[in-house]
Amino acid sequence: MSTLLKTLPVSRSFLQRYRVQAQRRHQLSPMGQHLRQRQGHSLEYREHVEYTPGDDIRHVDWRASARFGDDKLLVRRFVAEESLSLVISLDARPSMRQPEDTAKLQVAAWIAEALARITLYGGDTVILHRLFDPQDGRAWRLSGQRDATHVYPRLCNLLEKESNSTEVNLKPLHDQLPPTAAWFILSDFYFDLDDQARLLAQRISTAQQGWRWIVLLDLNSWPYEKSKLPEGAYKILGPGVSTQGNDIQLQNMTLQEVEAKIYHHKETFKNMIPRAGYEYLTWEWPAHAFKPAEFFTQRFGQDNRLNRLFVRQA
Amino acid sequence: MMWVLAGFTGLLIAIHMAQPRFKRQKLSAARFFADLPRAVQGRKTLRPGNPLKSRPLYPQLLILLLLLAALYSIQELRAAAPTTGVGLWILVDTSASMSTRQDGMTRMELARQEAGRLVSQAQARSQDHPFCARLTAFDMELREFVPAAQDALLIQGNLERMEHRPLGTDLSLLQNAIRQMSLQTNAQCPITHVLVITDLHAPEWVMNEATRTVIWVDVAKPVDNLGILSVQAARDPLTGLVRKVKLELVTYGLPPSNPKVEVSDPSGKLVLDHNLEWGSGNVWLGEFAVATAGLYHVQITPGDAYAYDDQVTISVDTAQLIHVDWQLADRSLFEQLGWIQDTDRPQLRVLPLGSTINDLPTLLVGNLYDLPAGPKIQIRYFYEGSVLLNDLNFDVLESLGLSGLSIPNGFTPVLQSQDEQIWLAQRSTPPAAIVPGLPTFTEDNLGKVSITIFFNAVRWLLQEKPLEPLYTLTSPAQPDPGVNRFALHPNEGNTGLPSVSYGDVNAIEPTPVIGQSDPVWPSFLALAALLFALERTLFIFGGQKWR
Repeated sequence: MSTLLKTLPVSRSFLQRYRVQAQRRHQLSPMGQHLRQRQGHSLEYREHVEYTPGDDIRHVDWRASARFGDDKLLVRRFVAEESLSLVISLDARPSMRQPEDTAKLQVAAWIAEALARITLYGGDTVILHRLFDPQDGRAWRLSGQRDATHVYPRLCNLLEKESNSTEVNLKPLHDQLPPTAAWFILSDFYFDLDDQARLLAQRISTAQQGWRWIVLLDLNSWPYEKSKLPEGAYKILGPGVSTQGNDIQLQNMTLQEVEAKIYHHKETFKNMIPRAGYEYLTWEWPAHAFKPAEFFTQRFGQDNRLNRLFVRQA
Repeated sequence: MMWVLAGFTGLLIAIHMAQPRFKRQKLSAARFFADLPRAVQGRKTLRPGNPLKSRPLYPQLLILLLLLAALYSIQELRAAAPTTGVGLWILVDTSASMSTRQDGMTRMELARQEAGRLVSQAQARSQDHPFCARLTAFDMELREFVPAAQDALLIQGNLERMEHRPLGTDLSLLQNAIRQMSLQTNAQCPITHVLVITDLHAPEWVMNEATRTVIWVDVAKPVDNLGILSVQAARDPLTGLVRKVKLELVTYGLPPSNPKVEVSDPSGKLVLDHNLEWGSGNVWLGEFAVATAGLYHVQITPGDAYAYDDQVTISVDTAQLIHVDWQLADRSLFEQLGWIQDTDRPQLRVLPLGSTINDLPTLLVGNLYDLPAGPKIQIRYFYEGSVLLNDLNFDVLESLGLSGLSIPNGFTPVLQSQDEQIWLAQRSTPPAAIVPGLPTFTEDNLGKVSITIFFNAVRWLLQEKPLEPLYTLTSPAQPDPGVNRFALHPNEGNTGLPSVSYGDVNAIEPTPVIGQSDPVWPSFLALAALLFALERTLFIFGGQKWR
């Protein structure tokens, strides 16, 4: 059964306003945040300069400093990348296609489409990638404003096919994650904590070395699903259980136990990532009925962390 | 049947309550419930609260019950019968008076014509509504000719089989039959209208009949008729023998010219040949003597429109004499009176005093007259009003010096002396009398008293068991006139009355059938279908939210 993705519930003008407001809202911030800047950090060496307080201590060239002596420290300077590469990896496993009326995959697709189109409007590059199921594991590369209209159909092509595969699809990212790229992983992080999860964690860890901005965006629908479980007897069905379901007598203690298990599961995955240089953002579903389009529009417009992607220093 | 429905309903609810009542819920976090302990208490626990929460069960159950009720209604009410139409019950008079000739045909022929014409008219009045008809003849009984017919032609064909019969007319049969119909439902032909075709006036109850519309067609026209109204026998009170026959003749309208009554005896000899003359009244009384046993034929000439009252044949024979069980040794009086000895079915038993008596009228005869007379004894008590004392001279009786009788229990003294001697006694139930003795037929006071007492007792006892009538009337069991069986039913010969009809066939309109009810199964079915459509619509548009 395929998931039909709805089109983005915000207009192009909304996205353009979003980009302008993002640039006004944020200032330069210390290292560790991805900022597009003319003079900053890239892999292309430019020059050595004397260390001044405030420079990133990691960029001190100790060998050259030793040669110069005089107790002076030398710092490497790099040539900044002119264009942004935004890589968006979407988890399209069965759990992302729940809840049926407010599917996490739908909201993830909207987030991906919004970020991708804003990026493309700025003349930058977007790579759309399906996180699991390497058998169909393509990565769509879009660049420039002309490709902004191709985002939605590419997303449909990537996500419409349902698959129970838990094999992580990392191969397409080998040459699609340039230094200083931003890598957004949109998932609910309910996947099995097996070897595949370790591979992903390792990749996230290594990606941080190239000054890439890694964002793990957790789409957490548990509050909403929990609100639909008053006390009583239930046959729980869904991904990861047999078709017969689990017959459970739910009480408040039971739900707290489940919530703890979910938290522990996600924490376990985060602990798998050796380096902690990533950002973990959470979009929580409301604990009541809501309209997904309204939820996305309001949440996207108010999330100050996502819009840092489009900040530029004059 | 309702118990079956109730039981089925209960079974459905029990099965529903017995089903595992786990609410199905699909979650993205389902895997995190896998290790939780399974719910055991929730399995198949019969909790009364569950059916109340199950919205789908109750609409479906209600739909099912309505469908079952519809099926039940179809079988029980047999709702194929029409509810509005014309059901015509045609009742045709076939009594003796319908043989009266008028306008060149009998009233029976005229009635058949009218019935045929009117049933066609009634069918036309039904228009597109269902029509049925029933044909019945009436006189002294109801006879069914056609129980139900959907076409007037069938009725008309069966009218030809109807003929008048030499019987009287009992209108109470019609009235009771029409009123009884309101309590019944004739599934073959529900009756809405009644058509009566007769030569009698429409009675008042027809106009007041509330259960059905009655149309009364009187086909009679006044015609002249001279006929025998009654025949009565004058009998010897002691022998029962017919001594005379009294005739009562009546004329309706104008008498014929030169009317005559002739009576011939068993030898054919005319014993009465009389030209009838009419004065101010219309009744003529006459009689003729009966000298010998045999057939006597009474004939009125000339014949007229109504023939059943123009002649009768009377048989006079020994069967009409008094039959007595005589058990006294002295049989001279018995033979002298000409009684018939009959121990099987006597009208009177004559026994010696002291005999065992039964329920038949019994005369117990003592032997006081054989005993020597005593001194004069005064009467102390007499039963005033007793027939046994008719014409008795008490002074003469006292001078006889009679002894007393020993009377059995149950008898009442009628005449008792000062010394409490009982000379006469009687019993009312069963009738019996005690007399001092048989008549002596002497010329003295004893002879007179004994004759008077004896025949007083006999007359009193014989009146308790009357003789058979001279004749009987024809009946449905014996409809044909014959010897001593006459078709002289009251009013059948009264042919001079004008017709009085009531109602009009042209006023017949399709009518809801009394006793039939509208079928209810379509209502049940419609409600079930509506509920089903509503439930499905809510589910389609409401989806899981509604469920």
